[in-house]
Amino acid sequence: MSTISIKGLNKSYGKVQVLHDINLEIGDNAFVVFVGPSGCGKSTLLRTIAGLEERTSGSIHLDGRDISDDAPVDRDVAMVFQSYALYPQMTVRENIGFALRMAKVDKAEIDRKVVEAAKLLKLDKLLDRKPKDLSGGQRQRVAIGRAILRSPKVFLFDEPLSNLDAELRVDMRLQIAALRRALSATFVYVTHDQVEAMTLADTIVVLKDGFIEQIGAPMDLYHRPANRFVAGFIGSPRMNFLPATAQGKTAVLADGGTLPLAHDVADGSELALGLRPEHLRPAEGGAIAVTITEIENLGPVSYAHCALGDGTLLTAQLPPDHGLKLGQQIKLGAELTHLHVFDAKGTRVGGGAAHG
Amino acid sequence: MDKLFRLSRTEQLVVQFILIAWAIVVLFPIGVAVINSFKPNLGEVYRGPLNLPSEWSFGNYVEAWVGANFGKYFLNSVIISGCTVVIVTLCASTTAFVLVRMPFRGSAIIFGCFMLGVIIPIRLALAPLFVTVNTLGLLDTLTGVILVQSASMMPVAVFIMTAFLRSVPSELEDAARMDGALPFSIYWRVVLPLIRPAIATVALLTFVQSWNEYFLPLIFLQSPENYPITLGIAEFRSQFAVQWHLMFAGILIMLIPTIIAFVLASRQFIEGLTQGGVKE
Repeated sequence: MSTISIKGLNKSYGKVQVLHDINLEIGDNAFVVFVGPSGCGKSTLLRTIAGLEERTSGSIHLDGRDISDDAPVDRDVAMVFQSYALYPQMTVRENIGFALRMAKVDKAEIDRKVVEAAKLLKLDKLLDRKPKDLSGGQRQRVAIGRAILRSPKVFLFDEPLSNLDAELRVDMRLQIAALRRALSATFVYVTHDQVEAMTLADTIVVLKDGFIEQIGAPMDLYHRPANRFVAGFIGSPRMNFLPATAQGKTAVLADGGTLPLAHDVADGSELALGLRPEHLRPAEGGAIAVTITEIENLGPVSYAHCALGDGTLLTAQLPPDHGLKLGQQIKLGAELTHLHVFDAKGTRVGGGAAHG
Repeated sequence: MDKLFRLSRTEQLVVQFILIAWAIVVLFPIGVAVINSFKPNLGEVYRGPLNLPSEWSFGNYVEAWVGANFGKYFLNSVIISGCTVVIVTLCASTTAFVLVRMPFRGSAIIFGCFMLGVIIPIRLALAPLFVTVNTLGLLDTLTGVILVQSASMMPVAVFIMTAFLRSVPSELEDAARMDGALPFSIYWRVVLPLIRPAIATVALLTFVQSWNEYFLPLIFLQSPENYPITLGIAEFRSQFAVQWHLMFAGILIMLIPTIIAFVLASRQFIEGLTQGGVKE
């Protein structure tokens, strides 16, 4: 068992409040990812769970036990840091075994556990090296090994892959997913990379300015974003937003084009229509007239960056053999089942899109 | 490393000339001291101070060491400098660790006081210092001089250590806290090895400063048997009516520990001065 329950958590640095009334339930053996732009409070939330930051008010419970005032080491959590935070003067073996040495565990026992963890992480041949003699990926594995050795109930990861190059990041992502299956524990993971969030998480928590914007499964967030911020943050390339005005069950675009709405909206209210690039295609008789300003051919797909008459930029996905040219004027058709409607405050209007 | 500037031949010559001239200016007095320290008698020093000795003799060194009680002065200097180095590095590193990593209400004021100490020379506080040392009954003791010299070096040492510690990522200490290390363990096992260059820098500066210190021992010591080598050399003047050849030998003996310290610590010292500019 390892459930985390966070209730009414607030955190301030002096007068600046960085976490606002965080309420969160994390289930047993869950993989929860905190995601959001820099400065949204995701790392602070993680460090508060770890006990490295003191909360201002609220409480954190692990398996029903209030750990809010416990020292980091007494919380039964382990953390993997962005910069790996390996002790440079110690060998891999000493780094991994450090926590158990601090806990005055028997030396033979430490050695046995270190070798066991090293085997799991394929570090067994590197045990006597110093961190400076390791590659970025190996260092990160040592950092994970150090966390594993404490056999915690909860693993906390603070942007663990952001210092790695793109190729290694994909590799490590898969290794973390495999590790999660191998260990029975709860994982809490912080990243600003929404691809990492989508691929690793059972549950994503989207944060902005210290508030939780939405909690949900990755595909829920993709298909039913609660507001414009989440809609824009989840999904790559990001969602397009078209300004429009409501008239009955119709949205009128700036250039006069119209799209039908699934729900009644007060006449004359300002709307933002959200359409993901993959739900916009060139189509004869499409409602959205655009000029192509840039084309990116990525192989399996291509993306056209286009401008509406009023200058609004949007991105549309193209088939590989699109045959379109820069400066060409085309019409785009939208898959209306995937149309997201947001009001002037950015809140989602109505039930929204069907699951694709 | 690529050259930042490419100098023309003439510019090269000018630069080389300046460097060589400067080296001569610096080395000349030392060279004179070395030559004269090997001369067998005072007369030869007076007749031709820049001439080579007629016969090279190590007798002056032996005589300075044995005859002028130099061994005792040397030992006092070693005790004073050694203790000062240990006290300053230990106190400055713990102080810096607390000021940087565990700030508390008033810690900025304490740091400010240390910075004030960098600016204000300790000689200005000599009168109250003398009274304090006297009241403690430490006048004319090595302990008194050691404590005063340590105090006088603390501000600069704290300044160097805090500056260095700020450039060390705090994630390492967070990791140690997660691993269950208590503050002293974090300081001893994690922080201390990381700030080794700063410690070397502080140890070297403190050693050289306290080894060469003349003024403070002069004020706080009275009996010749407590004199460090700096005061001991001054004794030469009265003892031998300026026996220059012995005096030079004494000065060179006095130089040796400083040179050894520099050679031992120079790599770490340079690292200490440059670290923080470039991140790994």
